[in-house]
Amino acid sequence: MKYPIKSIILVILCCAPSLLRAAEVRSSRNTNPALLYWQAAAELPPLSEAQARQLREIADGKIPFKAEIIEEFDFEQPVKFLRKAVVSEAPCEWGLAWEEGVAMTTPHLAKMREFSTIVLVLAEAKFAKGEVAGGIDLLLVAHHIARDAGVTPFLISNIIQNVLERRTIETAARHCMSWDAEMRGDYARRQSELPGLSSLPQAFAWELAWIDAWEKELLEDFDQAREKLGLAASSTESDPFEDPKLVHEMTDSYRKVHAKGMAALKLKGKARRVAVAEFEENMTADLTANKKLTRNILVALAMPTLNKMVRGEDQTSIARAMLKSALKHGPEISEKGLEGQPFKLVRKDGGWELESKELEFSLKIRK
Amino acid sequence: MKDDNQDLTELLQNDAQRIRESEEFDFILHQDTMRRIRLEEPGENRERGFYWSPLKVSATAAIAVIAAVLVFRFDEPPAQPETKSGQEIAQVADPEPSSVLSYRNAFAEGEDVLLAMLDQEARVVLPRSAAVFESNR
Repeated sequence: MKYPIKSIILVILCCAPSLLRAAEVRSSRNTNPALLYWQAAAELPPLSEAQARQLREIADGKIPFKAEIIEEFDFEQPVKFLRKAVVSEAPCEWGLAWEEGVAMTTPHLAKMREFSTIVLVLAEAKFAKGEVAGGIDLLLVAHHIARDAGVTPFLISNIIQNVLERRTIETAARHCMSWDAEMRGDYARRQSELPGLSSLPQAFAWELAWIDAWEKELLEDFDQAREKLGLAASSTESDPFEDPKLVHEMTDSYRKVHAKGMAALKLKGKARRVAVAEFEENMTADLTANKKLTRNILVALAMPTLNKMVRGEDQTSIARAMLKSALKHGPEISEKGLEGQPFKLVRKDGGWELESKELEFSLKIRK
Repeated sequence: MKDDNQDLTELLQNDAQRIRESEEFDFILHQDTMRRIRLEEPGENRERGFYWSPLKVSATAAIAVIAAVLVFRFDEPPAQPETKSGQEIAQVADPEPSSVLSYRNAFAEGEDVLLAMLDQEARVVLPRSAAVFESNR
């Protein structure tokens, strides 16, 4: 070979962009997705209140998509980071200050909802242009965003995860009947490969971590611990919290009620809904009848309303089952094909919906 | 010949002049003047009714200022005594924005309330202009 060194240099120069891109992808695959989400947040174009509302209404399916709505925004950079975040193989670690107890700030939840909104609007843009594959890619980004919002299992993140997942399913359902069988199959397959959603019992179990932290703080500095919960005491009577025994009784009382709630949450389907409703009724009755409010103050103030959370998780679960059926049957979906399912096909407002037989939930599948 | 009223008028004018010269209200001067007015004032004039004079205007203004200060002071809400923890516990302060507690309280009111809070905070708490993002640019 006459010019070996020059040839090697030429080959390296030609391959450099590809090599650099490969190195970048490898690097982002090992990056904590939370960091990539924050980088996306740094690149978000500023939105006015009206613009943000308009985007939310499109993502919620309340108003139709119009191309001119997003023309003025440059979402390229934030979406680039979002795509990197969802392909990262590293665990999503938000670095939350758990020691803060319920005063812990979780600003990522608001941003994750904003990302989900933007990605769903961009998916609508792709579907409007007939770019189904591109739209499906963005739907999968939105599914990932929902999971990473709920990756840290506490109740609020669980609620947000379910809200974001349902909205993504609703967007997919509005369009999937116009996709061909291959596209529907591809989306169903990729959806089934997504990481699982965090569960409500898992999130409820974490509630005890708040109580452990709060009990410790109460014993160390009652006033500060009380302030964190935004509580003030007003009484001319003697201070009951001066007695450490009462503090233990208070947290023990919470733990006992929590255990009953957990037992109800571990049931499935209708049995769970009935058990949770009964649990909440009993708890309210106990609190009303029990005059020793101090001992039950944690239960009264800190026990979440599980009923609404169970409803949210069940709605997500049935929404996923509905979408699976819609993707399977496509435009040929019929009542006969849905036999045995906990939902039925109904005609509503000139379109078609899948309506739950047990829950207050329906999924619009055709206009 | 000067009548009683003329004497009194001159006396008041002199006092008024002295009051104008002093920067601050002089309580001793005021008392002294009042005493001299009472001494100089003829018996039959004591009942002849109220008339304005520079001294009276000044004195009235001073009293009005003191009264106003007192009234406004007592109109302020009384300082809350420091409460000790007890059996009546109420939620008093709004929790920190974006905190788990603030979101839980919002969810207790309804899912829509929670979502509205998140949407508001997405724009307000961490906009792109936040200092935390400066290092990215």
